[in-house]
This record gives sequence, C-alpha cells and structure tokens, in this order.
Amino acid sequence: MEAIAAARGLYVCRVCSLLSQGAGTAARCPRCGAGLHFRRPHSLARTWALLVAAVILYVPANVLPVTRARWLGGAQDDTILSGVLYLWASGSWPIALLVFAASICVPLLKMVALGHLAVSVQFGSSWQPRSLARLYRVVDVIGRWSMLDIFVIGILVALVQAKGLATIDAGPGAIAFAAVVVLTLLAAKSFDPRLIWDASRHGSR
Amino acid sequence: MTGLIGCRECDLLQRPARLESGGVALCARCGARLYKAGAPAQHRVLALALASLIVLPVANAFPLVGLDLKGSLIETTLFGAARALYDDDMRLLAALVFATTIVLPAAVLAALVLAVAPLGLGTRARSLLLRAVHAGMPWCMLEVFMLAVLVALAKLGKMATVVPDTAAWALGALVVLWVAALTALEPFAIWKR
Repeated sequence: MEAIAAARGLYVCRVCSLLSQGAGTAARCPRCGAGLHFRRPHSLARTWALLVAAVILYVPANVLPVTRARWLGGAQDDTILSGVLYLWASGSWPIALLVFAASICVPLLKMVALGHLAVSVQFGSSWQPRSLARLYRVVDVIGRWSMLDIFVIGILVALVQAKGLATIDAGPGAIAFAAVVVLTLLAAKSFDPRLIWDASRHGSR
Repeated sequence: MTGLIGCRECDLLQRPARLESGGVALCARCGARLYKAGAPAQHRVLALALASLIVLPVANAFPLVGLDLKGSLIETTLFGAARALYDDDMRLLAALVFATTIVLPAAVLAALVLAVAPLGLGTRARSLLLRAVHAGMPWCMLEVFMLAVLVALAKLGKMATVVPDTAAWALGALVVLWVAALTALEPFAIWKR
C-alpha cells in the first residue's frame, strides 16, 4: 500500500500534525480539536474564485490613484507605480526598490504562481511537484508583504493633515489594492498543497 | 500508526528521523518542515511572549512619528493610521489596518501567553488558545507596518522634517521579540507533551 495518509484512511492534523483515524463526517483532531479533512473541501474551486476576483481588482488597484495630495498651489494624484517612480526620482532608490518589490513584484508573482499551481492541479500535471510545493511555500511566506503600501498610505494620511498647508487623502485605488492583497492571501490559504502530489500521481500513471 | 508521522503539506507517511540537537526534519518528498529537534522551548516562548506583552502597550500608547511642517508638529500613533483612514471615509481599509496592526497582534499575543503560561488551564482550553494563535498569526502584520514607517519617513523626508518617536523604537523591539517568540514556538513540540 502507498504511504499516503489519506489512502490509508488517516488524517494528518493541519494544526498540530497528529496522525489519527477520524470517525464520522465531521472529524476533529483528538489532540488539538481542529477540524480534519483528507483534503480541504472545494480547495481548487475556492482558490480559482478568489484568484479571479484578485486579478479583476488588480486593474483598478493600479489604474486608480491610491493617494491624493494637496498643498498650497498644487495637487497630485499618485498610483502605486507613480509612487514608486517618485521615490526613485527623489533619490531614495533603496526604498524605491523595496516598495517596487512589495507592491508590484509580490502581488504579480503571487497571482502568476497561484494560477500556475491551480492549472497544474486542475489538469493533473506531473511536472516537478517538488518545485510546485516550494513555489507554494514561497507564495505563502511573501504574500503578507504587499500590505506595505496600505500601511504607508495610512501613515501618510495620518501625518500630512495640515489643513490649508498640505493634506494627503487615500484614493479609491487603495481599496482595490487592499482587496487584491487580502484576496490573494485567502486564495493561498484555501489552496491545499497536497493536491499537487495527488495530481502528479494521477498524471504520471 | 506505529510511530509514523504524516507530512502536513503532502500527506506522505514517514518514520521520524533521529536528529542532532538544533536539527530540523524535512519531508522526504516535498521538503516541508516536519519538526525540530530538542525539548519543547515553552519557557522561551513564554519569556519572549511576556516581554512582547510589556512592550506592546508602549508601542501603542506613545507617538510613532512626528512631522515638522513649517513649525507646526503633527504626531501620529500606531492607531493614528487606522483612525486617519476611518476619518477619510475608507472604513473597510481602516478596519483592515486596525485588525492587522492592533487587534490581532494583541489578541494573538494574549492567547499565546495564556496557552504557554503554567496557569493550570485544561488541555481543551490550551488547545483552543493555540488553535486561535495558529489561525490569527498570518494576519498579524506588525513587521510589515514597521517597514511601512521607514518608507513613509523616506517619502516625507524630502519635504519636511520627520522624527521617529518613542513608539517607533518600541515597535522595533516588539517586532524582534514577536518574531523570536513565534520562531521558538514549535507547534509539534508543544503538543507532544
């Protein structure tokens, strides 16, 4: 018999790693009490739904302004990208690179990677499951860092509130961008990495 | 189930290897981390979590950064970022910032302290607390917020004088303690007892 827990009717607890024989439909881990599933229910469908929603919102997140600055005799709307360009032009290029990585590379990479994972599982690809597993872990770890720009906007709005002199307000793009970040985080959470190995097993035989 | 363990990320059953101290066991198939060698580091988790719990109110209560704009000083706190977004009619965004930087870090930290402190809590209660920590952890984003403070300083530094204040240092310390506490928290070890 194959050494796959689910194939032997055993559950691996996703919280505390205990191996157990669940009983009934709503099995719970005997050690920590977390719900047990052989595979997360509707994992692939949920991942697709959240991912598609994120991709759609990615457009307004980048086109609409995330901040609106007003000062004596001037006003400027900034998008995510123009904010990075401003930092670059003003000479703080290490910070510009950091924001570029967190706000532009991470969301894009995450959506492409999740799409790649979902497609591989959907079509039973047997292509390098170990690399896919590593890709999943990378997505899971770096995802949170794209919240960076949302926090920067919050701090800017809080600090630059000298009425009549200069103010910064959050723009509609910020909501869309935050939605993209949260949706991709949820998509990564709902993806069950065990499906990668199921797919590679069925695909190669 | 004779002495086997299962990988949480790929479901492979395998025999736990004997590790040298400080070693980490990885899944033979997918490379996911299985467990770490050594005795449960609960006392270390407790120390670091308690220290974080002491620094957390400081990071919240004191001003984080100040902006000197032509003589008038504007200060903000950790809560100020969420508050400003709320006042800006960005309610959802404000709620997200409030949850990830204030509510969840405090709640997760409190749950962690209660779970690992020798308070005589029953196994059920401790399991519930540790599960709450497990669920809330990914949504605590203090370290991202700290980096955001640096970026905001760089953005505003060209047009005004920005000064990091008490809470900025407290936040820095909090992030270090926090990350250390979570690194020492080995879920497998805690549940092994």
